[in-house]
Amino acid sequence: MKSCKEVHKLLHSEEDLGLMEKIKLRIHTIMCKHCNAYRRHLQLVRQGVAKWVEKASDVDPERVKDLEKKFLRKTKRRNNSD
Amino acid sequence: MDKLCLNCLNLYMSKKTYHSVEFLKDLHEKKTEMMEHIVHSYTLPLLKGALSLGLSRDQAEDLAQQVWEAFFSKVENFQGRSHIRTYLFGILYNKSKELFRETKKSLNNDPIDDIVESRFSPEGQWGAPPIDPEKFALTAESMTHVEQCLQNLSLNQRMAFCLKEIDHESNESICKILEVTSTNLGVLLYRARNYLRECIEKKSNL
Repeated sequence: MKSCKEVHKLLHSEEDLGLMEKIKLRIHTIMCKHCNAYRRHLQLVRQGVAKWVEKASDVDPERVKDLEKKFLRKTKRRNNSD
Repeated sequence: MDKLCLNCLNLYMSKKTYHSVEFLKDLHEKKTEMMEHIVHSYTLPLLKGALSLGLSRDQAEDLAQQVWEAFFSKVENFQGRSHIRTYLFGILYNKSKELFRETKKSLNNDPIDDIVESRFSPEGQWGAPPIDPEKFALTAESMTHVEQCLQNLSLNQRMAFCLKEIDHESNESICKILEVTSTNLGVLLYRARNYLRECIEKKSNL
C-alpha cells in the first residue's frame, strides 16, 4: 500500500502509468479524500491557467497579418544587405 | 512557385518528412515562398508562446521578430533533426532567457520542495491536507489570481508548464526546446504545478 506522499507524486504522471498502476492509483484516490482533493486541484490548476493563457494570447488576426509582412520585410532587407 | 517543393512542404507541415532534402534546400536558399509560408505558419504560435510567458504585446511582438531574425540569419543551422516548430520555440526560449535575464536556475534546490514536504507527516500521510476542491475552484477560475500565481514560476518552469498543458507538446519536444532531460522536465512540471496549487490555495483561504 503506497503512502499519500508517494501517491501525490504519481498523480503528476498519471497518464504515463501502466494500466495496473493506474487502477491502483484510482483505488487509492477513491478511498482517500485528501489525495482525491489533490488530484482535483491539479486538474483545476491546468484549466485555470489554460483559461488565462487563452485570454492573454488573444491576438487580432489583422495584427498578425501586418506583423508577418513586417517580419518578412525586415528579414529580406537584412538578407539583401548580407 | 513550381520550383518550390510544395509537396514536401505540405508533408513537412504534417510532421512527416521534415528532414526532406528538398525542403531543407529551399529553406537554406531562402526561397521567398518558403520564407512566406514559414513566417505565416509560425508567427501566431510564437506570439502566443511569448504572451503565455507574461510579456506585454510590444515585448511579445519584439520577441517574435527576434526569433525570425535569428532563425533566418543562421538558417543553415536548421538541419531538420527536430520539427521546425520545436526548433523555433527553442530560439524563443533562448531569446526570452535574455529578456528575463535568467541564468540557468539550479535544478537541485527549489523552495517549493520543502513546502510540499512540510505538508506530509513523517509516515507520509497528509499533515496539512489540500482544501475543499469547490473552494479551490473559485480561485482557480479567477484570471487575476492565476496571473499573480504564475509569476512565482521560473522561466523554464513556466515554459514547460505552458508547452505541456496549453500546447500539448510531446515531452520529447519540450525537452529539446528547454534543453533538459526527461527527468528534469518531470521535476520542472512537478514544481510548476505545486507552486500554482500552493498559491491558489493560499488565495482561497484569504
